[in-house]
Amino acid sequence: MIVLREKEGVLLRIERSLAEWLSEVLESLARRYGADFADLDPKTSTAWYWPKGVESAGGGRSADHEEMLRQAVALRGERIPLLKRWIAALEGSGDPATLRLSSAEAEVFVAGVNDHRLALAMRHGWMDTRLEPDLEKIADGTQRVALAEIHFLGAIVGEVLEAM
Amino acid sequence: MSGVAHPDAEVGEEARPRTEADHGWNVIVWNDEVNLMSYVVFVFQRVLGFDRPKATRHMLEVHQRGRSCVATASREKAELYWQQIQQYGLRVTLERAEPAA
Repeated sequence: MIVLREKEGVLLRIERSLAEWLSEVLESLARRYGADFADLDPKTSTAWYWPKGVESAGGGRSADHEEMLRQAVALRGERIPLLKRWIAALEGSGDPATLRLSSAEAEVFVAGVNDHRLALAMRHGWMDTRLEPDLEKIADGTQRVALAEIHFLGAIVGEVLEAM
Repeated sequence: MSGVAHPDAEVGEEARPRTEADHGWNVIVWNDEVNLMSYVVFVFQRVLGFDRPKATRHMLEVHQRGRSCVATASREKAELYWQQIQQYGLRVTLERAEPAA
């Protein structure tokens, strides 16, 4: 994968197999962004809407707390049209696939990809422990794949930030 | 706020006058082990308008001390910062600011 800086944004060139995987990540994100808060997997909702943070933002008032949460869920939902456009771009291009992002879109892209990392890390209880850099030290296959995804998506985030 | 320095900056304009008991609200960002350092710096620059050295200083405070107060502002403005920062996936809370000693 190559991330290039362009005049008004960034260009990602991604091998076909990786592009298909990235499409699946974006589809999964779009599904969860479109879900009601109550229907979200609890680990994902905790990763994206940290209860301590939401409670503090509500100032201890239940109605305010619920309103802040409602707004937060709605704001993530606004990312869905962009996610769908990117999925179509990845699926509609050849090998390597290309994804062209304006500067504003690149900010949404890194936030979305980062959300996927957070949800994965929360699912495996890694939010507050140092992420193991060596995949070979992870015996459980499911965990090894999740950790690889977190690291790889982190590399994408880092490269896009660098190119912005 | 044990172990955490007071904010070195007050960000944003006040939307309403403070009363004697209203010293504004602190926007606190908390550490986690997943968000990249470069990403946290980017969020501070994007949301709070920090320049890179200041964003880096606050990111390191989060990393090393567990939290950093990134802004003190009116309730309305602090809520806006909270909403924007949490949209980027950082752990963020609001707490009432204490009067300066």
